[in-house]
Amino acid sequence: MSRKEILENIAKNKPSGEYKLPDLNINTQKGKAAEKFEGIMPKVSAKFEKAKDYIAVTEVIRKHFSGDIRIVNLIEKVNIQGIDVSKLKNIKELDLLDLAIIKGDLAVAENGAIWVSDKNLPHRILPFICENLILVIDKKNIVNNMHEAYRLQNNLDYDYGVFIAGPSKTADIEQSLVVGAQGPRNMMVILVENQD
Amino acid sequence: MRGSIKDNSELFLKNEERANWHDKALWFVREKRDLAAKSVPEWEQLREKASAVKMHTLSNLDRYLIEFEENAIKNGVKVHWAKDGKEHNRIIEEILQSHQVKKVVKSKSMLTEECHLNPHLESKGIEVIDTDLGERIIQLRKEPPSHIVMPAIHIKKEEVSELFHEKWNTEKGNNDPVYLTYQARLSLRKDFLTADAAITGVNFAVAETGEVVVCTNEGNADMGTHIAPLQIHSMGIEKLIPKREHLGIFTRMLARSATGQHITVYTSHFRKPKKGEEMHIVLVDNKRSERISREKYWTSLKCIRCGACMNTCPIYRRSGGHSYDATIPGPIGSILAPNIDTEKYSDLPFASTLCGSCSDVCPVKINIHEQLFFWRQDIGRSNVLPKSKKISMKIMAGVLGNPAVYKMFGKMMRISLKLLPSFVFENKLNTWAKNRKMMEAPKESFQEWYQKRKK
Repeated sequence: MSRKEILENIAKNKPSGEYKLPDLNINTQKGKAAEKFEGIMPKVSAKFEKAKDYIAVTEVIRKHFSGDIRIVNLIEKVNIQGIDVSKLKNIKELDLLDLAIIKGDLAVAENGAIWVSDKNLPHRILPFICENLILVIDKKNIVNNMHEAYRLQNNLDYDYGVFIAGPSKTADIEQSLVVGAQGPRNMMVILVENQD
Repeated sequence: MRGSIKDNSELFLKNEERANWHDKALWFVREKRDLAAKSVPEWEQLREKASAVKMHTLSNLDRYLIEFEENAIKNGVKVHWAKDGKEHNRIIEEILQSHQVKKVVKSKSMLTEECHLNPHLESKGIEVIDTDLGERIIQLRKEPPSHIVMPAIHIKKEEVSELFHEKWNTEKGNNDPVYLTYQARLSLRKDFLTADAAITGVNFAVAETGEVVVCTNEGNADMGTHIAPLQIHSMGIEKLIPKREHLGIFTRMLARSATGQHITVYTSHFRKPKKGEEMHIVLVDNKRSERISREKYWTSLKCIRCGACMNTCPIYRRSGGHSYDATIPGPIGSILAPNIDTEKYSDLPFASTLCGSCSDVCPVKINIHEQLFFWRQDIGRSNVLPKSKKISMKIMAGVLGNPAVYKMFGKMMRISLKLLPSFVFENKLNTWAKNRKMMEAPKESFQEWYQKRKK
């Protein structure tokens, strides 16, 4: 059994000194989280819009996306009809989905990352397989940095969760930044200012 | 047979234009890293904490591995233990065979490179598609990665265009990275939709929750794992951290150190399998449990594989990753490889100026340049050094160890450099003068200058 062998080796070989787990008191920058978050959006190649409430969110989306396109909308308060994912026979049918509209639980000002978990996702593939992704975030749910984000999520129960910072991208060919690698080719973040 | 870094880099440097281009491309990434690190005033504090968390975890690794396993099993994940690369490959093969897998999509993992998983699976008739764009490019070229974060950094867009034209019949002569990336997207999308299983590496594993965290920019790890009915995560046992809250430290540093981004586009947390499907985690030792015993070297296990030490290294930038002929190149590779086979990789710790830039940029504060120096001593004491190097080092030790001899030797060199014709020094016997002119000798030594000024 390799398990036993590996563990015994470690027990025998591990350093004997006492290395304490450090505290997490870190002098972080705080304040103006919403402004910082907005400021970082272009750096992660995400489009950014503000809306005063969810009626306005619907209007913003309609302004940008119209016509005969395949949409999955996972936010009840957004009044846009789309594909009913509960009726999908196979998630592969979602290939070339034009737009997915998904709620983010929290957003991080220092890097523009938005937390999406399977609490809001009937299928984990949804934020990845769409060509265009819209993440909607309530202003009150913006935190300053990753430390705060992980502290908040401590209460959140999830089987799968992901921080998303912009559309998929790559610079694997001669360090040229190309937006649209294997996931969405465009992403828009809509910040809701007066959530109920 | 492994080629020496000296011979390999000599070949690399033959094409001067390309070598300069490579140097610049890496320095560009190093500059982006600096900007990103400077945007965080508490950067040094983060490095301290990151290092301390890793040291603590490694010195209690058995306990944390057991905690991790227990929680992963509670999550419905199947956990496997592999003592070496061979066992790792056999475990993965067995999982895949039991699901009749014909095709696997894989996202970037230096561990599966270390274990040589691809050739193993291919020999068993299983198709493996690397899905990170850079990895796909080198896979199609049948090459190993030359960098751990940017595996195809050594390849020019014209060559990518040629390659895609040949393999996928894309437009000939179209060298636009946007066009080429899109063509790769179309091809990889078909692979994601037809794969029977997905394999990923792991950036961090959390003992407290049993979850694994995978960071990508392209979304390829997620495209793979969420579509395929079977997902497998391979991880070295040193990837463990105690608690979820520690992810805050590491996710703030990884991408900033690697590419100068504030965070990778995707930081994915896998806790439980998809409904009705299977998730496996393979814990791999491959001599890590042995390395942990080495007083001078065990802290190399802190490495989070960001690649910052490569981008900043004057040797790496001007030699190219392939010159190291080791799974992991660059400064960190040069202190990791001798742990695996000291004799085989005995030349790598000498391929350094010991400038220390690698240690300065390391987000987990590994004393890379000091370990390079320790390896030189250990290798020098053992019998694996080539004779010529041993003799010249003995002579140098004699000169540098005796102030009077050193003074005399210095004076001799200054006079001879000035008076003797250049061919005396610039010939084949003097490797220092290869591809470069000998320096002009100063009139006096620093000591002489200093004595004069004191008067």
